[in-house]
Amino acid sequence: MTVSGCTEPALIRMSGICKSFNGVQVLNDAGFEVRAGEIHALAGGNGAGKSTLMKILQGVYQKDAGTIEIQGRPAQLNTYADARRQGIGMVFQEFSLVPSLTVAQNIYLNDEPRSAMLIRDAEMISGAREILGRMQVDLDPRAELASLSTAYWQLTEIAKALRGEARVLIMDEPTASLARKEADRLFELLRNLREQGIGIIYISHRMEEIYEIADRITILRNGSNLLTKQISEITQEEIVRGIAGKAVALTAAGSSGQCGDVLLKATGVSAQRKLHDVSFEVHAGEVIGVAGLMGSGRTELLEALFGINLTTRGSIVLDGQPMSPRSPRDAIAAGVVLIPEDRRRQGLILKHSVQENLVLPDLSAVLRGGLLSAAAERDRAVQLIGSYGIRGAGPNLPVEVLSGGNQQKVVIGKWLGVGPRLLLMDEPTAGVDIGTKSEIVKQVREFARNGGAVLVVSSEYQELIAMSDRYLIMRGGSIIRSLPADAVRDETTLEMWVQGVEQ
Amino acid sequence: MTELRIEGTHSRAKGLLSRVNLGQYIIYLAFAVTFILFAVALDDRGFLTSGNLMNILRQSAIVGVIAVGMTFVIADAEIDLSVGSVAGLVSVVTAMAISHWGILAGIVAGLMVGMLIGLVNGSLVAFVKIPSFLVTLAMMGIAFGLAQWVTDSAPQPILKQGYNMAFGSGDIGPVPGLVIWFLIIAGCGAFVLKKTRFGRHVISVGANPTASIYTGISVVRTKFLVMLISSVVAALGGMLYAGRLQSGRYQWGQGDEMNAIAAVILGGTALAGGRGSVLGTVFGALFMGLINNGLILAGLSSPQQQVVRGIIIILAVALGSKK
Repeated sequence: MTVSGCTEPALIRMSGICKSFNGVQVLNDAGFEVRAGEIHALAGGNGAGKSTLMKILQGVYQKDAGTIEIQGRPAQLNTYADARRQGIGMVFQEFSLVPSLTVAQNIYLNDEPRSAMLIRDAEMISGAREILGRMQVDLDPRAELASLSTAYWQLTEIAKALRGEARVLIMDEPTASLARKEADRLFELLRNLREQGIGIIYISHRMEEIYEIADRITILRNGSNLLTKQISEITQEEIVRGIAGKAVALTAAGSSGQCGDVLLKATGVSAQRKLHDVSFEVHAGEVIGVAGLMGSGRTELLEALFGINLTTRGSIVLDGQPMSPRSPRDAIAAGVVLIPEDRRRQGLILKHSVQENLVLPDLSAVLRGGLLSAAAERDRAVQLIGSYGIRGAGPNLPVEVLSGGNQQKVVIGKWLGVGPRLLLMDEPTAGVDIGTKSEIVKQVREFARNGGAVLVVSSEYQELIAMSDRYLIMRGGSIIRSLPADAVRDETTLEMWVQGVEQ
Repeated sequence: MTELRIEGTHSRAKGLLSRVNLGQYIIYLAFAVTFILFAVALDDRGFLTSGNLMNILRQSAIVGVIAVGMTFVIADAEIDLSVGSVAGLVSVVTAMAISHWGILAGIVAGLMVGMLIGLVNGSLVAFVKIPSFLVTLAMMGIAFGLAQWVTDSAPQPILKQGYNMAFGSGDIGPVPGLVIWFLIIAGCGAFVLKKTRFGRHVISVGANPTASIYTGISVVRTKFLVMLISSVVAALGGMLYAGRLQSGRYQWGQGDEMNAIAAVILGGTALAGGRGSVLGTVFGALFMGLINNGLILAGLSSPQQQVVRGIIIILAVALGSKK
């Protein structure tokens, strides 16, 4: 049953929603609605405002302006508990579950049926069984979560969201951690819930999924509505164009045409995590953009070259020398460095100073007579701060007080300071301001011009196109295509390659 | 995403505020205030006499030595509960080896025991990845039991005065030898933690093991070494007990792990790791010695001392954690 006319009021209607953080407008007159028995996809590029809009619906953020109606009645959602009471359930992307508890205990976490302070286990288990039954899932509510696979974690997460009188389910990239078959079963479950009259908000970047499961789609761009349409009335191209967007112009790199010798040659490389039989070459002076959907093996490829995702087969030759890094130390010694995906957890020691972070990878550079020299450390830090344009902080401030962009520059300075041959970058422009983005793009181009080679993973296509001489498209842990710069005219064509739309 | 960026600017103001953090320096303030307080209140009881001041130093020295090793462990986000019993075991092993084979054998045997226990602790924590709390809790019992077992609970006198003089009973001029040992160990510790690559690795691993791995630092090696250092330094503490008390006995060092941990934390090293100061630890140990001394001079009974000491420690740490 796809959506019929608009006779009944929408389950949820958000309209004119505005929200800004510290003067930065994130949502501007955004609206969204979901009807009973509808799967409504919410799409948009990074920073389009999807998460913020959904967090307002969950009572996590408060809107600055606008209205929220639930079944035609205005609602005030001040806390997460308010939203729960109004029947809004969220399936969290990173599961909000406690592995050491059972399925039933997780479903009823913080809402356990009790009598006189004591938890009524039997009631909890039968309640969980009832919810799982409604989902037509065969799962023992008494099983300890830690003993179950990821797919069951997600089912538990969904059951948890459905507990009580949930009428709306928000799902954020629910298939990111699922295998294809598990995703199919999830879709079946979603259709089944739709039959029961539940409204589902489905956030996804994956166009093919949206096509498969959704009834309607709303695309946000820069905090406002771009369009809302029936899936049957929108073309793939329209969706891709809407997601890819175009905000600020960065000029495409094009092929610099001055590639040197082969610097890195990977042949038939497989690794412990998600990398199957990958072969490619990188020339000196070349920037290669690695594009693929979440879970396509992009990060795993970089981590294999950096000695974190250990290779199990194949050969890697760097500058004529075979290498098989077993740890980041090996990789760094061979001249390979990684700007990791999670800056705050992997890239920096947040509580330590800018100076300490900058000198850490190569402490031998600040040894004087075998001992760390405070003066040498300071000189080196000041020099790197200058070279990489790190602003807003002296060397002694803890790096956590810097803005996201400047934190990222510290990571870049930290690694380019050691003089690498091959630079690996994982989402280098995520969460940084637009000015810093173009600086990072410039630094990468310059590093390549000086004879270095770069592999950069990014889901921000504008930046990727501005940097790359060539593209590797990944899917399911393999490289499915290698494209020259002129095969990727703009974000839309790149998105189509990534989504596997033939062109 | 957008929210992340916003959060970044938001936390900037907050971060600057919380930067003015008394935690790292509270110990010096607390030490000075307490010292002046005692100097005024206990003047007529001889608090300020040089004899008494040396006493404070001497009484703080062994726990202070042990605490220097503990500083590395805690800065690396681990813990070592076995140091007190290791000191006790080493005191009896050293005493027995001296009476059988002479001074040199005693010193070597004592250090070997420390090293052996350090190897076991370090391997289990770093390679097998058992939490250090559990490993060293078990080792605490093992070392204590062994010391009692091999001696049949009997004290082991050390009759070689050369050993006793060198390890804690002697003085150099007006300065007790124990204090010299304390200064040497603290000096080395401060130096290693501040001035060597290893020291920097300890702090980095303690603050963020993931980022440390991604920076090419071997977390396993660092964790192994801090556990080893702690045991060897605790062994030296045990040898100092043996020299100072001219005997080995399984009770020596009992409870020192808690005093050492308290000294380290009072000294501004973060219990969660990532920040450490050996100088702070030295003052932490001196502060505890100061309190003990002052309360004794004030005529408090032993149970009263314990209560008051506990309250003072809580106050100092509470003040330190205030922003």
